[in-house]
Amino acid sequence: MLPAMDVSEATWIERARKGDRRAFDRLVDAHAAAVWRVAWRIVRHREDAEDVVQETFLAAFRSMPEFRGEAAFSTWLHQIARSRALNHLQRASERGRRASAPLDADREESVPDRREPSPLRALESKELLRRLAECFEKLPAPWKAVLALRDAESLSYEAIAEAVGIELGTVRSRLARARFALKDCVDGGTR
Amino acid sequence: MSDGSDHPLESLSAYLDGELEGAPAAEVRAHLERCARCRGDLDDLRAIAAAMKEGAPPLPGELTDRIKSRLAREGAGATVVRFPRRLWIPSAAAATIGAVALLAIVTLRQRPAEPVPIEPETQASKTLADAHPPEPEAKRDAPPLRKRVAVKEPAPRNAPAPPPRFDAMTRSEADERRNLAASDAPRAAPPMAVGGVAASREARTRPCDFDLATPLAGWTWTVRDRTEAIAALRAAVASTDGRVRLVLDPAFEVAGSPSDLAAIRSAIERLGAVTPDPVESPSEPAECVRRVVRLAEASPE
Repeated sequence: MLPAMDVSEATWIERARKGDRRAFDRLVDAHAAAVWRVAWRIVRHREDAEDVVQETFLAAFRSMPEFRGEAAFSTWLHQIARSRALNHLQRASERGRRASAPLDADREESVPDRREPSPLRALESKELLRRLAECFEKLPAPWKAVLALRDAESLSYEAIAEAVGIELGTVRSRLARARFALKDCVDGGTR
Repeated sequence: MSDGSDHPLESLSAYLDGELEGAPAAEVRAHLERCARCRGDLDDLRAIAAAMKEGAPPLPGELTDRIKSRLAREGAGATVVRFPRRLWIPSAAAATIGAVALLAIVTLRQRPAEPVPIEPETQASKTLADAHPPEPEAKRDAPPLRKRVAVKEPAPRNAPAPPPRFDAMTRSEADERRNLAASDAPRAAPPMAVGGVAASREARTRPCDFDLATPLAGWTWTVRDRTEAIAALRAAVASTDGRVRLVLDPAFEVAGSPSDLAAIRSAIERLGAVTPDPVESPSEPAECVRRVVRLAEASPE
């Protein structure tokens, strides 16, 4: 049974499946904002997110004949967006093009001092977001991937394991490391 | 995972996600009751998780127009093909038999790429990973077959190899391409950079650089023996679900030994989705092909 959807969208989808680009344009209008949010939450970089969104819709258009409607169109589209976004993270990492300044040597070697109270929760929301963006950028791509898929996209560990191609146990340990690295970085900016 | 002071950090993270049940969950709860620090950490992690869902800027106003323009321009014909690094095959042996370059021509139909496994970090530059070394991977991928940029001039052996070149560029990648030369120096030589060939900045801005608007994208590889060549073929076919047509460039017949070429040609035939006939892509700039020839002739060790 097809998932419930707007009748006009079903029509656009059917037309787009037959190659009607104008019908697909309507789908772009309807879904671009949501796809943008998916892309941005994973890559957290404006230009990259724009690339991901464009690639997503291009890929989706070319794959429309294969869309059978087993899942909602938006679900299918978001899966493509996630896949493209993960590609982007990986490529950015390989190029090292956005490698951030290294942490100082002391921090690299030491376990964070966990006896002091964390000032993170005292941060203004805007400041927290700013630091989060800055620190997220410094994470290696594999950590970004699991963190974004879990905390931003709320995927299950199983879904993350499948999307990234790693074992369940690795998802769990990598996620913990990514979270505490991110937390320590955000905290570090306040001390 | 622990920070060395019996704080169950990994369990705390899993607890946050509701991934713990029974005894493990009870242990974390008991720890939280007596550890104010971990209670604080848990709150911090919650705050971060909540913040991770926020902050997306609004959709750029002109983005949908750009998407539609691209759809109109290249909707059915452009090529965006990924090479999942997971599918790249490791070097077989240090001994080099000969260099064989393969020209891959992507067919016009394209489905969305499969999820690409994200590799453990390999950046030379230090990041947060340095402060928190990665855990041992349960599934460690083999080192990749190094895909190289077609280059103009041969360079001394053991020179740092250029970073992998992707077949299709996005806008931002195209911008970065101009600065690639600067990124060569600090990168560590890749594990397969035996007989490496340095890529000049000029060479990369020549017509061999493809972008999304190019109807047919070209890939070149430098491989060191027939094992690598066949592995590259398999990776190409696997990573595109067979929607790639591989062409053995006739120019490379002079670079490899007859037995190597026979093995490669046989592999091409067995893979099915490829053609053994040496055909030059009509849209491939002639200069690009010639440059590939030079690379092949320069590389055998």
